[in-house]
Amino acid sequence: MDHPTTSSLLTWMTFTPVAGAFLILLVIGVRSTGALSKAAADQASRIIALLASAAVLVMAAYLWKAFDPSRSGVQFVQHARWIPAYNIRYFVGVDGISITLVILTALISFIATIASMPWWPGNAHLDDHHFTQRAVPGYMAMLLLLMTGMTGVFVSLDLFLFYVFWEVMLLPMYFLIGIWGGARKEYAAIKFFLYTLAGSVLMLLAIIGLYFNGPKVPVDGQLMQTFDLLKMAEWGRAGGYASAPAVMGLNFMRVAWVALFIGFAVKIPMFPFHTWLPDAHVEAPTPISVILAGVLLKMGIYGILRVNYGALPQATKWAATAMAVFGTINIVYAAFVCLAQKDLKRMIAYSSVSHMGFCLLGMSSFTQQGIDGAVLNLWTHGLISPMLFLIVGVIYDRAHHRNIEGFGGLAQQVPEYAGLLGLAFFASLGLPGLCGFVSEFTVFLGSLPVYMTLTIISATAVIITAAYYLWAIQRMMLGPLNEKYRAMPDVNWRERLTLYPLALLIIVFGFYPAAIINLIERSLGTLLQPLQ
Amino acid sequence: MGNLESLRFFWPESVLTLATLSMFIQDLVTRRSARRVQVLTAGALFWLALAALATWKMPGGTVPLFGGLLLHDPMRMFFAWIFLGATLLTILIVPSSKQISANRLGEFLALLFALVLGLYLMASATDLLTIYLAIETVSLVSYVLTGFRRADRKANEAALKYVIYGGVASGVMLYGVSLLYGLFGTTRVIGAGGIGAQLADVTSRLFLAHAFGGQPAAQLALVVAVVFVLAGVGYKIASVPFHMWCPDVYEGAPTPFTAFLSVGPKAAGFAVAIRFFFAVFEKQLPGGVYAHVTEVPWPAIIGIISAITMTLGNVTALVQDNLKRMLAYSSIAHAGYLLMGLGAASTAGVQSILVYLVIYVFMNVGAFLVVIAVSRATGGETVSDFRGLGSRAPIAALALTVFLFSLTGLPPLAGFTGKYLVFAALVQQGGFWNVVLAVIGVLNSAVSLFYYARIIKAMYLEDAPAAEPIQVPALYTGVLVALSIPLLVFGLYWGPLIRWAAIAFGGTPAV
Amino acid sequence: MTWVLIALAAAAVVSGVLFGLPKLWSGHEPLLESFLAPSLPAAEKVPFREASHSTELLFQLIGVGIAVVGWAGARALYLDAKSTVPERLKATFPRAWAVVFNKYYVDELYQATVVRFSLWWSRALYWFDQNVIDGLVNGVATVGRTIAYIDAAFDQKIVDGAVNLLADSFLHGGARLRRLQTGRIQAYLFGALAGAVAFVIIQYVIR
Repeated sequence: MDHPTTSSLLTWMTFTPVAGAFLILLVIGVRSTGALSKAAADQASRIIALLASAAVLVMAAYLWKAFDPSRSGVQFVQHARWIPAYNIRYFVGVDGISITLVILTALISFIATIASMPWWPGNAHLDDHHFTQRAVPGYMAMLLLLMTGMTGVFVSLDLFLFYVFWEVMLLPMYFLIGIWGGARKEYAAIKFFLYTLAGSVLMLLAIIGLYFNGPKVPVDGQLMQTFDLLKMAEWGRAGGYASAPAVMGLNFMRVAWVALFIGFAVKIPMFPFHTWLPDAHVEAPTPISVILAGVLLKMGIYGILRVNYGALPQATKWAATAMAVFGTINIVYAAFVCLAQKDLKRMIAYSSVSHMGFCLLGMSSFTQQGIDGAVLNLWTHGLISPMLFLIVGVIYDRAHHRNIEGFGGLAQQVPEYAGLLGLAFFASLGLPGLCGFVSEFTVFLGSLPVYMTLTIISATAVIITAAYYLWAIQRMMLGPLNEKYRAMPDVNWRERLTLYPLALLIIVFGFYPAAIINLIERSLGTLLQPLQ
Repeated sequence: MGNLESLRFFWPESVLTLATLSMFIQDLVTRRSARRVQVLTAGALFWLALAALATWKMPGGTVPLFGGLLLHDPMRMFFAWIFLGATLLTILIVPSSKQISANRLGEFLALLFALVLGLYLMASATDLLTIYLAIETVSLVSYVLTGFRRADRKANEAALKYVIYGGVASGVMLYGVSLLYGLFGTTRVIGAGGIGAQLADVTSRLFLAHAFGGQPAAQLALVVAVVFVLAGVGYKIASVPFHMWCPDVYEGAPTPFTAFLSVGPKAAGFAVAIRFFFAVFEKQLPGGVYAHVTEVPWPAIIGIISAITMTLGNVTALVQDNLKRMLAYSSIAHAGYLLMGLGAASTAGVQSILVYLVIYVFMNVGAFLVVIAVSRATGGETVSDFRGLGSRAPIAALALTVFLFSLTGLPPLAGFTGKYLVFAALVQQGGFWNVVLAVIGVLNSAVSLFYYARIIKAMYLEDAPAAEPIQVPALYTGVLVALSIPLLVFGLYWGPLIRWAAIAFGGTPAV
Repeated sequence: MTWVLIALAAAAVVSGVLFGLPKLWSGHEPLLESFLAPSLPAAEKVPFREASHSTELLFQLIGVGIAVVGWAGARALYLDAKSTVPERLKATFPRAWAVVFNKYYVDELYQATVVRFSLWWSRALYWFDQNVIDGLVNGVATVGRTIAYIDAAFDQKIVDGAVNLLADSFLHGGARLRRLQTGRIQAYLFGALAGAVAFVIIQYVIR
């Protein structure tokens, strides 16, 4: 077969968390027989989760080192038969498009696991109802399942496998939001689940369509259809899908493109399919918001790049202007909505919507800088928005509300926190020197020649971004100290462990984005060729 | 093949007949025994094992039996195993369910075997009269078993509705059979000189210009006749517009029997539909595609029925509180999904139905089993009785989660396998309406998530009304685990199911 | 203070002699005459004509002469306060003296016109800046916040409302469909038979 197995690293990265989840199931089983106390079971689950995610992170670091950016094909391939009757394979690998996302997933998962630990002993701010104390083994098991799903999506090169991992992710998310979430958790959880599922079932039909109209490959002497994404990409580039029979009277490629796009657009989230995000983010517990914003939102863009751009380039060209327009709407619309928010977490949720618009804008320009900026934005946003949500988590744990106007002058009481908050906010608004600027700027560089008006409008929306962030800082941090918070403790070590690494990375990549761009450039260039 | 030679292939049915008789006798003999329940259950399991052995020992190949009344083929064996599986589960569930009293258990089991006999006949019938006879056998026993709890008003109401509705449906079907006999001069469906053969032969009586007052009249008569026959079949599989008995009967019948009813007769109904539809009205072309021999667009009609059935089932289930009723509507919806496979009019479509039915047995019986477990402990069957089940009965709750998500069709559970294969069959056929049907199908899957998730939400996200754990018998726990594991395995490992379905119909897996 | 002046005077004389001694007297160019020439290449191009020595001597004498005359006059009038000329001049020309004494009223003129106007202009500009320009800015901010408020309301009520409406419509549809299930067997049978007849008709419609 093409692309023979070269390394099982990705399989280890994908399934180590599931192995951890099984161990936790055992822990639950032992606990139910009474042999283990609640505290011991909780600690055991936490340790298993930490070890599993740390192991994945170590593997991700190795992957980064060992990845060869000068080759544009897939590396670290593992290829095995899964369902021979339909030529469905277990085919995983990384190339420039997915490597940053795999590493990001490992990093953010690890940070989220740390953020799921209760505060160190001595800080008696948490009661038994805090999400870090309730049903801990179940939480850790769900978290680990989620990690598997996320990594699996990014490494899958078989479209069926991709779809299975995509759906696998939904289940743990539903429970994580619905059981450990905030006031309206059930509503937020079912809304997230239904909305994403509705999008992805349309994707399923498109996938089946791509399969049946796709290339035939020789398997054991006979020709069979395939789900191989790379083969589909070749076929699409060569115009194979153009000869597919019309669907409902419309061109197959366009219908399939739209069906896939809707599924991915819900995840991005793109206006008008974005309204699940504020509810899901706000009601989810902090580490889950971190994962949701840091990793899950990236899947939509990744899917578009891998499937829509890969297999259906002609339809992508047809839809480019629409994508750019929607990207601009995302940026501007969501920025204005942020300005009106009183709940800090909701504001940051909408700012995520806004920033993902940059990716759409960059991608749709079909320039090297545009698409580099878009994928770079995935990385930088993947660092910044987890930090933002962790920041919100810190204040919510202490004040038990997130009303921006209910704070005031906190910089006097919690200066370290104020500094970190300032860093995160400035990174998100695109201050040069921090990584958010680099990606925004690159996107604008790429899209200005192609979509001048839209880029100008988007660039002015950056001002609105600055407005809402600075206004939030002013209302929360500056001015006279709100007497209610005279005794607020500053960030503790557990929070520092999650915030400082991200802060460091944000600063480092603000000055040295080349590290990422070098990884992604070649593969993106290859992806872009049929579109230019 | 003549009657005596056919007996060689009739062992399973013979065993089942003996089982029925023997269970009645055993019921009488152990009437005063203290360990009556165990003895009866053991006896039932013994006869079931014997029937399984007889089924196992059946030779392969395709052989018409009893002069063409029945057909022995791999599909018959396939459905036989489904029936045996469903029966095994029911026999295991019934004794501890607290719904059938100990002194009536023997009758229940005996009647169950009679029902299974009828199911076997349904799966192998190739003559209209045999089909009718088999359906009637199943129906009559079902009426009795539905109303088995004589003191329960709901059960009585359900049974009465079932009787009347079933009677009318059978009558309508019989009318259709008679019209077909009038048109073709035979009630044989498959085989030489049968209806299928005559339809494919343009020189047969039907196509002569002057017969029956002309072609359009013959066409109308044919359509009416077949629609009426399909009314009978549709009643058995609970598809719109012949589904209205379903919620009341499922709710009123004793839950172990409801579990069986939702899988056994439904599967048998599909067996009849496949045989009738494909053997008669579709001529197999290369590539596993079927072309209809009459001008009637049967796949389109099946598609319309399927779309309406799915939508009505799912949307009405959204507002149900009683779990048995909700699962009844869910059954109606799944009949809709299965009909999509039929509407695809291809070998791949039929194979997808077969795979789906196997998985469906696991999911549905499992779901009903949890309902039984909860109702025997709390006495309630509504969603609010399931609140906090995650902490009160963790294994049952986990199993129910697996079943419900599998019913929705989420990977990596086996429910997705079935749904995927059905959708793949439709998309492979292509064409405007097939794609529309597929879109309706996937959207229905998304809608169905809501009511399945409502139960899961109650189990895990809401607090229990009472804190003490629910006692689930160890047998039930074992069965639940035994039902969940295949759903997890077959979600990822499709090979055996696909091979088995291919053997049953079509020979090779259609890609 | 006087010693400072003496020192400065001496330095002035010395530097005048060192750097500025005219060519007439020293025979060569004064040191400072062309020391900027390298920096001013364009200066080469300015045409000029050297005047004769006598003209130069005349100008030197005139300049020095006027200075000496002035010095002598001031010395005569003011040296030891014994001269009465200044008082008599003051009594005879009081107004002229006042003008000269008040430095020709230049400062007052300046104050009344330029300074007052500048202050006024500055305050006017400040007012403009605070109220009009900044007002526009604040106006933009208010417009921005209003748009934000409307946008958020739109997102909450209309976009999200549409999603919730869709979900609710399914539930309402379910409630309506539920009522089809009347519980009356007669209705069920009617439904079945009507459905069968409907399918007979449909197959003719979709032929």
